[in-house]
Amino acid sequence: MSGLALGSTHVTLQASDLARAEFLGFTVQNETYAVSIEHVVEILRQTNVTPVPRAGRYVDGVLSVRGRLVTVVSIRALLGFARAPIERKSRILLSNVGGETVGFVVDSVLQVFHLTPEMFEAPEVLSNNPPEHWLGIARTSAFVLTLIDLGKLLSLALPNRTED
Amino acid sequence: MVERADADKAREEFFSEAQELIDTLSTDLLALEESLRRGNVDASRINEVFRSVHTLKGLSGLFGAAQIAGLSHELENVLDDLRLGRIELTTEALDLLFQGVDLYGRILSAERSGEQLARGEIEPLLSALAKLSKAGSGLVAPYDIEPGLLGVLSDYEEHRLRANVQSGNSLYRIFLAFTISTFESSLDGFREGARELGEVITYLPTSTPSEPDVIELEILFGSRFDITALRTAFPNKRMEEVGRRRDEASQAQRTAPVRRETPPQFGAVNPGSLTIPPPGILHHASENADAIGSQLSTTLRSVSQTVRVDIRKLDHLMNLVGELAIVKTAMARFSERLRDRPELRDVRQEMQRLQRSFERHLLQMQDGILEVRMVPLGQVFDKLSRVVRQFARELDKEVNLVISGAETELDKLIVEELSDPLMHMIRNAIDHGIESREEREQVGKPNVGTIVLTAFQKGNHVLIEVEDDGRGMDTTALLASAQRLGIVTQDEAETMGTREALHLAFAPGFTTKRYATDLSGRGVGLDVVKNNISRLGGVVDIASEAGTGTKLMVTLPITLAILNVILFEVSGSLFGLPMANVEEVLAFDERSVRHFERHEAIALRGSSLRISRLEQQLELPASTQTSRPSLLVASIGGRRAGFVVDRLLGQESIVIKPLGKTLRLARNIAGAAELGDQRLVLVLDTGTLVEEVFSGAREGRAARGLIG
Repeated sequence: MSGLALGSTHVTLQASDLARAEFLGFTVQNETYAVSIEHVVEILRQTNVTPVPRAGRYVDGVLSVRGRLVTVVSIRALLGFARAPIERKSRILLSNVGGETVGFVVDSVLQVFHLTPEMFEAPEVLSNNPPEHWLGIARTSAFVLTLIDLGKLLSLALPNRTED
Repeated sequence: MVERADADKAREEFFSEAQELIDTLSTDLLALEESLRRGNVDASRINEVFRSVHTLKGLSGLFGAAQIAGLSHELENVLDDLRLGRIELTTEALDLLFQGVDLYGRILSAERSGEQLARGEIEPLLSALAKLSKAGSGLVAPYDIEPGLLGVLSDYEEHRLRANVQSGNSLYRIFLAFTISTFESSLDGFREGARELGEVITYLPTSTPSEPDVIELEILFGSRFDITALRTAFPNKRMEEVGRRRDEASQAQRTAPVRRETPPQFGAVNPGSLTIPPPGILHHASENADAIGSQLSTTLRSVSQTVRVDIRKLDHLMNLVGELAIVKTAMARFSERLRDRPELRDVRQEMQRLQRSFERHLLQMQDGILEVRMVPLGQVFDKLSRVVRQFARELDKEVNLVISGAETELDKLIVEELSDPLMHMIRNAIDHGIESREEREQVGKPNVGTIVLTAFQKGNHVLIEVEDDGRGMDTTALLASAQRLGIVTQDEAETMGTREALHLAFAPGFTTKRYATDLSGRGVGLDVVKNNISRLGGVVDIASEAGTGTKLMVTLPITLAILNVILFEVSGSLFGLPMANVEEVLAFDERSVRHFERHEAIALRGSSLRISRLEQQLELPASTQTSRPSLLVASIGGRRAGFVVDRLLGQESIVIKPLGKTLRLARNIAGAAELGDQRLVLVLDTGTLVEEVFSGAREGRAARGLIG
């Protein structure tokens, strides 16, 4: 679970690092997003994802991560963008969502942002009716990040998923 | 986070322990019911039930499971009354206790998913229990023997004393001397040895120690034998009969419903032989009463010798074995490469030797883990006997459940998943198979219907059979209904054999609603049963004879963990199908295909076989390369279909892993496994694949207006 590679920088995730204000930034369709680093278990460079037939439009396939099966979903599809071929900079963010490890394919990973309260803006700043998966907006010197909740994003797209 | 993980673990432990207690409870209640039926209520069983409930109450208190604690409290009151004889054990009381067990189960599963059961589901039982225990208090008459003795009795001993008196036994004092260090085990030995003759109600140390390390006990013994017989049985033991006022006691039972509340006076009677024990010894005596209790629940002790393991840990170990199998394949490839290097022949031979040894041990390890996962089917059978009792009562039928092979072992996961389908099957048998009393009488069958539940192992499979001696199924009527429902055409109906006709009962949509009056009515939920069993890699078969009975036969693989699959390619992707479902493999010849509207079939040994192009069924892109396609003939639950695949790749034993719930939409995929070359193979679910082929046929008929 440790030793995650962000491009050239190496960051090791440990319980003590999981401050609430640490977010991992990534890009999708030239937009910048971030998720709480607490929810990211690991970042994988693209490996062979095995496509699964008739799995629905959000699912890319399955992947074996050290012997454990992980479902890989396309964050592009979840956010309503067109799917794009997987490229050299694509990464898979592994996140524990509702008791299951799910991989989210993103276009590229930026860095870990240490956010302070004054950088935050409520989602309502941008929309009267912000999507439920938005946690807020954060402005850093170089980026404007949409902070999102991966679990929410997935359960909104696949409502049946939570039924047992 | 660590704390949370610990808390989660503790919570898991709580659930498994609570479940275990509830299972024990259920078994004990069944035994109790059995003993009630024989008219000889086993008092120690009531005590065990009480203990289980008590433990559950304590446990749930610790974990804040308030509903369980509340239910336990009411149950405890009733059980306390029962074991102290304040109320009598009746079928009604037992019913409430059984309902308690069911409610425990429901509360527990709600708690597990982090919810609370609605109050309305709990309150009625709680108040019924409260009413029962209140109604009973003070019913048992007081009686008058040896107040001095009564004062030192525990509640339970008091009850046993009462029970002995009520059944007209005589009471004796027997004096025994024991070595202090071993007196408990010696006493247990005496207790065992004397069981035939009577019961040790209580014992007290006397105040006349003859030697420093010897203790003399005065044992209060209840027996239906007279003192001469006892003297013969225990020669050289000092004993005397306790004076009894039989008339007064029995009269009191009839007339005085008020329970005696005044504390008895110590040492009022017989000061010579029964003295007031000093407080220390009194305490000691009550401790021993506890020891008796713990002796009663010896099962607890044997449980503590075993280790409770979360099945997921075993899954993890099994996955590791899978990983090692991958290493094994890689090693084989490596030594294959050495073949081209004649100068390294020694190395290669050494390598192969190591490989063989590795393989052997790996196999042993795999077997070992599989063995650990095995649990006896008895676990689920016990639950079923409760279900039979309940259903039979609801439907006002008398049913005797005969169980054999409860010791047959199956993978824990399969056993868990089995309870629902088996319950359906049994419900069906009671509801539609077993006739009403009058009907049975008319055809000369015994009033009480019989359902035989049998399990046995056959090779790598376990067979479970549910057989009833009910009215059986009439294939002519079945076929007529199936035709009316549009499940078969008239032509099909006319050519259908008995077995195939019976299998119509498993067809989806084949419900009893339309013909419940003119046919046995069997069929409720049988398609669900079939699907559940298929999901476990099993098959259901059916045999029935009108008027004689019906037998459902379930065949299951012993374990889900290891699967033998046939590997093939479709549209460039790798798939596997469980070998157990593959009947045969043929070369596929495009020219042999016949078209029936949108459907395709081939003739196979004189009968039609529906075929499906997997590429299309799985909605894969059309393959570009030309291939030599094969046809896999798969069968499950009596249905057969052929699947066209691009290229066969061989067979492999794999450790299958389930897909996450995000992949729930992909219902054709049963799971995936990693192969030696690190490729993932998706294992197809034969059940849904075959199902889809045939439900497609139903849609076709629906389009033609054959299905309403």
